[in-house]
Amino acid sequence: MSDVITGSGIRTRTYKSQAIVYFEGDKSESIYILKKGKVLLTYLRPETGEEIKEEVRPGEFFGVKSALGKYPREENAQTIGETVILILTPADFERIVLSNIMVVKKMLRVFSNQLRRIGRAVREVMGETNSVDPANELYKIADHYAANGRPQQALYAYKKYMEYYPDGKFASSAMKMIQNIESGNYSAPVVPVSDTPVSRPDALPDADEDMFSSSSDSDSDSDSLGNDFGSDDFSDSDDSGDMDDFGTAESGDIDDFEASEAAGLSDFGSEMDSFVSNSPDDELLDDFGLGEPLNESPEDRFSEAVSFRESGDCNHAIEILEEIRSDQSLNNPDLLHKAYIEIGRCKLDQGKLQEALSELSLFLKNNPRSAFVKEALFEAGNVYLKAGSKDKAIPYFKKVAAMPPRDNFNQQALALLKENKF
Amino acid sequence: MLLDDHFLERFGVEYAPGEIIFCEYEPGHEFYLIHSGSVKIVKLINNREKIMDVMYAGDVFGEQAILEAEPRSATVIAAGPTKLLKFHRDNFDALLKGNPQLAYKLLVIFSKRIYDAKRRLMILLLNEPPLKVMDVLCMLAEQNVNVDMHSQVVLSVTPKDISSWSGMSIEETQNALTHMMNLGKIELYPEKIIVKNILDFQRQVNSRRKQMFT
Repeated sequence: MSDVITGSGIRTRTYKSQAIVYFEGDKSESIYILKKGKVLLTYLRPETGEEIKEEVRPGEFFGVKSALGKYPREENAQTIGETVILILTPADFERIVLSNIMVVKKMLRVFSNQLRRIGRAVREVMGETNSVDPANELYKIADHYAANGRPQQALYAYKKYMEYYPDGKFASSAMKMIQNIESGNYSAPVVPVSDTPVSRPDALPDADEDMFSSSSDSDSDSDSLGNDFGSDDFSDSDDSGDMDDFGTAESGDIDDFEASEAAGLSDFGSEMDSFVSNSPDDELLDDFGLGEPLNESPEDRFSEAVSFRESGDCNHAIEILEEIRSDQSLNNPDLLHKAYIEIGRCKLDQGKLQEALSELSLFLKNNPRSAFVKEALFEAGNVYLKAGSKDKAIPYFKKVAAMPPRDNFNQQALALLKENKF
Repeated sequence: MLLDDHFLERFGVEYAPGEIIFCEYEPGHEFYLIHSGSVKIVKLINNREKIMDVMYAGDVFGEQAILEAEPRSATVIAAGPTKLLKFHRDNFDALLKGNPQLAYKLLVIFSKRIYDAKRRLMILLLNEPPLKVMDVLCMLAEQNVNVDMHSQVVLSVTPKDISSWSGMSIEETQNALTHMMNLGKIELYPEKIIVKNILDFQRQVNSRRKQMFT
């Protein structure tokens, strides 16, 4: 190992093959950028105990989250072959991201996806079902507040229900409740005796006592929302020396992003200069922005794509899915199959029915034994349904309905058959 | 303060105590920074309102709406007279440009939240109550950078906190804690717990965790 210290505090370290950069459980504030060589991150997936190996590509960050969040490393990082790594302090990292807002945006998106995925897993363990209808849940909340003597909160939720779901199945009762509350006809029900009275957790602020008087249970439940929220450990650095470059970073556009990346980096001393100029290909710059590979696993990218499709941005979703599909190193046939079907769904959403159908039938032809055949058949049925050819949709839904094991798709297919009176 | 006054003029919104800022399951397009006052984050669990967190000036909430179009995951209610800065997703780029520190702050927030959520998941996946309790204690010790894991560890935590972290009832949690106290592994006080050998707890939890999948 050899260290070179540069002016900015960024160190360059050369590791021999099979060297450990850090162990799971280590506490350290260092953030790393792989400059040359290979680094393998290894960890166990908590839900399954399965060992996950991820390769860091040159130009990518690693060790970011644990350094920023000040918690122990969650993976082992080991080199393969002689490897050169840049070691940053959080302050160095902050300077880099502050002058490259696109890096932050990409990382935030990746982080946000991860958080959603873990949240989903937590809910599953807790026994909450995944498929809740937001409309019904919103209405339930309104009712809860109405039933617990909190008309103000109930009114808000009823109004939001009407705003978002004016044709919802509870619309008329929501309207009635709004009128009752607004006209003063609402009388607070007696809070059931069984509800334990207020026990104010100590963490609570000096808030209006009334606020808590009717809440039946105020357990201070430090949940996944995070209780470690103080801003004290966040260094509110006023270092704006790199801000000048900032103007070049236009939002959104990847081309601009590359330009700004280079501009931003040039400020980090000769080490960072050579980091950029030594790289023969533009790809390096691209990768640099992708954030930690740990966070950009193909599974994460897939769920990112699904989020994009669900938010209506099918083009973006397809872009990511095609990347996954053409990833030669992807060793996960299930994910590959899901990517095919998801592309079909995107095309379906976009109304490109012909393309959707050819994606799906290509998949079915090449993977007749895939675990996702049922899903593909179901979507193919949907394509026909959307095209208005019910006759062609029926056989698909019938086939799906009859395919074991019985799951959501069987149910949905049956429902669609019924709905369309077959 | 993080932001200039002109932000307050342009993006400032005021809430009276008890007013809902947004409701769980509502679609969300804005995120908020608390300028003054405080808010409580609540969720209805088994038809009871549970306070998940309380946030103060300088804290950010609703930030998941920045990047994803999913319904809100909790309800936020003003806990006192509260001034917030409200930013629409569409202003995010402009906001970041003017306030890169906020961007960095968001990265830190997300990092912490991911860890908290993952750690909670790992606790919930353990199937024996005593181990869940031990792991909550390990987690609290790990979170504190100043803790020396090799000597006895003092944690400011109540049995109620532990029950919510572990997803167990208060009675179950209390039983597990009493048992550990009787074995001399911990000292139990209403507001704090002293763990004699946290490394031993870590070892037990880790070895159990490894066995779970074999």
